[in-house]
Amino acid sequence: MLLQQIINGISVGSIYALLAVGYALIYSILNFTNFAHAIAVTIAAFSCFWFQFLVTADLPSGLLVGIAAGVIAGILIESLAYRPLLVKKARRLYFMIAGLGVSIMCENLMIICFSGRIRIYPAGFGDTTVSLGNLSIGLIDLAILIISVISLVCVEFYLQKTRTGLAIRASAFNLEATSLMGVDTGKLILTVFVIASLLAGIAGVLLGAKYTTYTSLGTFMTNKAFIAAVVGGLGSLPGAVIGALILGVAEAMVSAYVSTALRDLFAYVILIVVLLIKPSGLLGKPEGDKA
Amino acid sequence: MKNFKTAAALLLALVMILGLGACGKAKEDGPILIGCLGPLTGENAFYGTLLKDSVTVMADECNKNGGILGRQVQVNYYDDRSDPIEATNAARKAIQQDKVCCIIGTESSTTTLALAEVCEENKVPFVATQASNIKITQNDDGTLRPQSFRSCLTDPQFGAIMGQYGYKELGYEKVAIIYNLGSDYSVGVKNAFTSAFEAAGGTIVATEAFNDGDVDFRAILTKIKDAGDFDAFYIAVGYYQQAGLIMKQARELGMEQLVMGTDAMMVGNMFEIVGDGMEGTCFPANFDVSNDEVLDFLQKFIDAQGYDPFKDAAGDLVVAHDAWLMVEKAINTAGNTDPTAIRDALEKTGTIDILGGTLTIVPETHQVLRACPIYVIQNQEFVKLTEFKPEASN
Repeated sequence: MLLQQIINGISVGSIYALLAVGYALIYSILNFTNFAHAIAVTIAAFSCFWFQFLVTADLPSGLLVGIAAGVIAGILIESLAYRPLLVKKARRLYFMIAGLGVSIMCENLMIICFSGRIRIYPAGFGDTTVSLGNLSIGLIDLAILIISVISLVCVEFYLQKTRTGLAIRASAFNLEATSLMGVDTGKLILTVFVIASLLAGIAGVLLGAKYTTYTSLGTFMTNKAFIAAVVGGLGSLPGAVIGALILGVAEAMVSAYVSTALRDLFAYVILIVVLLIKPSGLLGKPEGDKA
Repeated sequence: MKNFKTAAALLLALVMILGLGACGKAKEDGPILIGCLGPLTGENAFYGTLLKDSVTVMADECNKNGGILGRQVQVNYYDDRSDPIEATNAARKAIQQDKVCCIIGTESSTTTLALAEVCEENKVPFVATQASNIKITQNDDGTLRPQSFRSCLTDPQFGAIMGQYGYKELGYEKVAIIYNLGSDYSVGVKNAFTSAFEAAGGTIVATEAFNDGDVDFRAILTKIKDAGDFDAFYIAVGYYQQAGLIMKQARELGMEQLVMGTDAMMVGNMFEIVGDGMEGTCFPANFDVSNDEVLDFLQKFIDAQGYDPFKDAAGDLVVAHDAWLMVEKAINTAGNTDPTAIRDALEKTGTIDILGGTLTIVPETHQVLRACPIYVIQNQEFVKLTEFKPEASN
């Protein structure tokens, strides 16, 4: 049972990780939490559904279309909601408020357009399971795990090995100085949003396949991912992954050995304890002003 | 000149008074105003729209046949957005401003409790459609809420029927229960099932809870798997998405036990979530899906509204239909549109014919007695196994 619970936890945690890395990436450069992240997740899931429903019931192309829609949503959010604020050099607090506003507005728009109905991909991963002795893992969980690991490795590789990656890391260190060095930070910020919403899109289409597609899908999941990102240390990518896995496994353990009723409470207690003991999170940069 | 002014003023006053008289008269002859409350926007908009569309079909047909008491019926629709505060505001507007004589709705137990407060305060009756919580018509101490009626069965009725049937007819001796801690409905049916199943002689091997909004149930399912052998699940949830995901994930974990469920499972969409994993699932419902009258009304609905509600929630259609019949009969019996007279008539409804059966209102508790068919899922179809007749209880 313990091993099965750890597998359950890791499978949930790997989704949290995809989303938490998106938070961490944007935070590391812009020092604010992108609360509109959730909506890219939901849009990706719905686009995958509608593509499969209207065009062709094919899983791989549906996933790709969904991910692309997530990225487009991210670009739109950046250029319509955040860029005007950046140009005005607004305080970071306003970014968060704008993000919250975008998120709530889009979720309600989606309810109006698509109603609160639950959608199921015409072509999903099916219910195939892989059994290892007493353990069983759904095909979709394996897919989620593998896709998550591959995407996270790719993002890390991009950040470490490419020139743009170098610029992103430099601007995470100091955005203004990077801009003085001749880096087009506007373009850079857009790139960061593309990467973050790419991950959100991947998480979205996979979540939609696993848990059905509905309008509050993104909001529900990103709340947890946000906790994971803070626990791991906002702004730190490895921290976000570790925080996500810790949270996923801890939730499974609490549900299994204590009580599901206490699970969410426990998640927030972890958050408070980490903030009390190590306010910058497990792997975060020890800066005082991150909020 | 002065005299002329006085005469003109008098004449004007006379005209106005006569006008007022005409007003009153128009009200007597004008349409009968009925309110209908439901979530027309927001997450549960689908259910509210279904309620509205069902009532519209009934009202149109009623008007085509000459209306009630020889008067046409006008239904005003109000949006409660599944929010108790909105429900309170909408109910106040309906009763105090628009002066409806009674209300049909609303859809969930939580919003209906809010509606009930307003109706009790203003002494206007309402008939709830899908609100199955026991507290809708009775206070915590068992006393009656005089204005509150409904057309569906209650949580304890559903839970108890499934508990007895599961042990006696399906032969399950050990059952594992999963329920939603955050839902009054779920807790209600779970409690009723547990007492009925244990009283019949069965054992509950595990009772595990989840929270509102949860979509991953593998942690509690793994825990149940470890709790030892059992014959069947009882999945006590109010929304089919959760029921579907629980079943799907249980099958993925290699748990093959059959499932007993709630009326929320009468939804074609569930097959898309679970597929064959639902085979053999049993659950009770408010109506008989194979009955010709039900199918006729379903067809009438599809013709009028242009969509088939069955994939998401056909049950709402039937209970809305029956609530309309209760209201129609009550206004006819009362002979006028005085809310108090309608309330008294509703209480004395007795037994009326509804789609595919009869419905009885117990005057002391406002409990509803109507046939409760039990279904089993075979080859992704709902097959009726048997029919229970609930009896009046306190």
